[in-house]
Amino acid sequence: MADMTVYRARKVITMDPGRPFAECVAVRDGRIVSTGTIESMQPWLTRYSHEIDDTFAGKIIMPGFIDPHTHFAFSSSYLTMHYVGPIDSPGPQGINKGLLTRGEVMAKLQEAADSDPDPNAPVIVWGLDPASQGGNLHRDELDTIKTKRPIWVISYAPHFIYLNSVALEKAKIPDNTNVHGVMRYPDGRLNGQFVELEAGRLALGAMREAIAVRGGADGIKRMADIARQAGVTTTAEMIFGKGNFENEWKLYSQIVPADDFPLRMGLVSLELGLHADHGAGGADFLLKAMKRSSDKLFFHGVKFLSDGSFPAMSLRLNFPGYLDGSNGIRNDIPWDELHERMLPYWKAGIQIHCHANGDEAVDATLDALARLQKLQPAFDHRFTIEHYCISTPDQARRLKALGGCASVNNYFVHYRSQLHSNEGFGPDRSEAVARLGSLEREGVVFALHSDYSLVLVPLHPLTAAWAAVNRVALDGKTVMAPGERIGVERALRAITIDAAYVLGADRKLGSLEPGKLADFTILEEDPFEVDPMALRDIKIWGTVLGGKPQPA
Amino acid sequence: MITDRSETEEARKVNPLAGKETLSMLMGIFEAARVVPRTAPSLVLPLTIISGFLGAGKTTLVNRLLSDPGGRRIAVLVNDFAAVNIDEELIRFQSGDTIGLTNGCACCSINGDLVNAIQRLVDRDEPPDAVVLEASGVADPRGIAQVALANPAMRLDSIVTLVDAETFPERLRDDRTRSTVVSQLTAADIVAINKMDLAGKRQRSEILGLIEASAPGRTLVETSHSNIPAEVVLGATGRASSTFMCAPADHVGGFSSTTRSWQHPLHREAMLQALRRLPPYVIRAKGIFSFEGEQDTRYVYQRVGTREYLDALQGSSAPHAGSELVLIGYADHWNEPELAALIS
Repeated sequence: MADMTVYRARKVITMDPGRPFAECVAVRDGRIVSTGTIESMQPWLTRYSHEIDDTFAGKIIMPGFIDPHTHFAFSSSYLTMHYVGPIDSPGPQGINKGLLTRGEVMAKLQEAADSDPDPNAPVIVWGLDPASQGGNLHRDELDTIKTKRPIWVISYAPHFIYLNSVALEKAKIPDNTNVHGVMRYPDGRLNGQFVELEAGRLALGAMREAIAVRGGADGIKRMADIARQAGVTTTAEMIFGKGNFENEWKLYSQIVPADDFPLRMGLVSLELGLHADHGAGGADFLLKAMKRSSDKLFFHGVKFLSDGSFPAMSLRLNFPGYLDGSNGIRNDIPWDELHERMLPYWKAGIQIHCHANGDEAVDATLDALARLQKLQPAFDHRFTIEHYCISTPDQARRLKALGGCASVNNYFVHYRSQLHSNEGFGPDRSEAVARLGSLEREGVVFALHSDYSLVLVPLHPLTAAWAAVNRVALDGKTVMAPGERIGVERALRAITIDAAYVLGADRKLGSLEPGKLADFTILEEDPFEVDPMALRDIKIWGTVLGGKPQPA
Repeated sequence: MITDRSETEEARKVNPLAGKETLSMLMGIFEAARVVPRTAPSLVLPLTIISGFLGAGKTTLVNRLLSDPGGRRIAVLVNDFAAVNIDEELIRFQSGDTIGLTNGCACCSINGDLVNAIQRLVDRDEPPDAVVLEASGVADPRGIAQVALANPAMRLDSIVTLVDAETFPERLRDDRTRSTVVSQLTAADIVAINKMDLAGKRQRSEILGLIEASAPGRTLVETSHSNIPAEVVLGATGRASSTFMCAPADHVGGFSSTTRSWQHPLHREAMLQALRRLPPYVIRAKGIFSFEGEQDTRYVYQRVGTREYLDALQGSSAPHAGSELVLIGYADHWNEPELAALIS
């Protein structure tokens, strides 16, 4: 077997501004040896045996895309749930429309039962409102859904649970049970309705078993497939250790290092969890945990939160606040204590990521950073404000002065800004969501992320880049705050090398340079050549991870 | 499909918060499926949920339970540490999410993660005798209960909902708070009406009427300053209490208790039937029973409102041991001869 593989492409985009373009990449032991042309690489090629691989001959090779802020473990739970409620409700694939009649509910149940290729996977549905959707469901009615899968339907308010016959069998409810709330047909047969707590526990307890059998592993693998198809080679779980740190580590360390898992994964630990488990010793614990890291699965940084969410309209705003005069929520740690909780991590040199969506929360986060700088000045700390949705130009300037970075959810420019002009934040702030132009003007390093799937945007870095370059709203024509647009090159940086930077991984990832890990995204078209409005439509062949091709 | 317009409008009236609670309940159950070990639990802890709208007196009640736990080691789970104002002399230690008290009780912060907070209690070297969970003032306690019960090591003892007599009628009239208040009432096994000392006679009957209309048949306790003994909130501790302390002087109404014991094994169905017919002034019943034909097993029985629990007592093998029953109730209506006739 040859020492090196040389991948020839129509064009190689290195994201190394000194040597931006090439024709081929040479890879040895999963790392990059050289970029250039066959001719320029001759000093290497004459010294090492090699083979030339033309799989990507007509395609574009880019550094593997990095989405530095996702939530795979939560999301895998979301993906197992379907919604049949009477009012619109956010879900992983967008807004779930409210269903108004029993017929629509039954059709949705059939669709849910048909949607999973695994014939034994439980169908978990929530949201039925018996008062407005034709009364309580029951077993015989649920059995008209053509499926061999167990069905659990949970009511909109947590009072009723309905099971089909397969689910009843799984729940092993004895016919003669006398538990209060286990309902029956007049002939004494169980009718699949479970009312209130005791009965609900019986029904849902069995669901827990069904979920545990499948485990969190399948869900995370499904999420990873979604990411791979979008050209992503590295992502970071931005709330790690919310439940049990070691159990979650066990889950990830079983899945991610495996050869068939298509991504590298950073784990950013939630400070609240570390604080609960270790008190003031959280930073020391995390430093020790970091020794478990590998190139494929690594601990990185610590996560704080300062306010609520952009799409759920719970972020915190400065004057004049929300259209209706209200304001959002602050997070668990009081703002004037934020820097105290951050200090042990800051001192230990652990990178701090702090969630801040609204401008009041951005102020509070910047205040915390300023206090840290006063207590112990530091360079290259890479303190990162996560989301950075509603901000002001002066905040970008202050962020630069304090040496911080931003990881921005800019999908909202397209998906939500028009909506929130009328609902919640008003036109000024909604138009200027994700001020990437301001960050660029001030010289702040920033990345783009999806937060998938806690918010209603796709996980698709080319769509983030497209939104950053065009800022076109959902109507397909209005340009929102044109002065906040950035160029294609800067947008591509924000999904490659600059995203690696905010994850503290830019020495190994994010560009195609000798010594870096051989992670590529393979595109069918050149993002510098297509019409900027077509950026998000570029077809993705797949990825290469550590030198191993992974077709989408 | 043609949709009736009135039906559409009806659908829009659905309380959006209720859906949020169901969703977070489901997320909690998913989380529990990940976090909770799949082995059968070696012990089962009774859980009492203290519910009630903002300002109803939940924290005051929690403070009382912690300072006067009636011989139990209680672990209280709270959302907000700072609000629980524990007497400093009582504090033995404080570490991270836990304040340990000199009487063996502990106050633990949930920190936004109920599933794990409960698992930490279960995993303790010395688990508590009882777990008390203070629900958020704007939550339907049912969602929280299901998350807690996703851990097989928990058994729901009761949901106690506090009602502020002063503000309750207004909360019920206000569109924005009605559904929350009603959901807290209907979830309750015991409704404790607080600040009754401030209510006049007419207000009192109005309040009782409103509660009966929203949540019929609940066991009611009238009180002030959340002054309800641990025996009422958590049940009797066990055999030792033949008489127990009734209400202090400032109390609106006091509590009474009675204890019965038997040397011979009891008829199972007859006893259970009798217990289900207990009059409404009996708030709680706790028994340790030996039944005819099952003399190698002893059973523990708990009843609060209409919720009952009967399970074999672990680690009991003494044959022919006697049975004992403690009833706790409302002193104003206490009728000893009636009870004696019912439970003979």
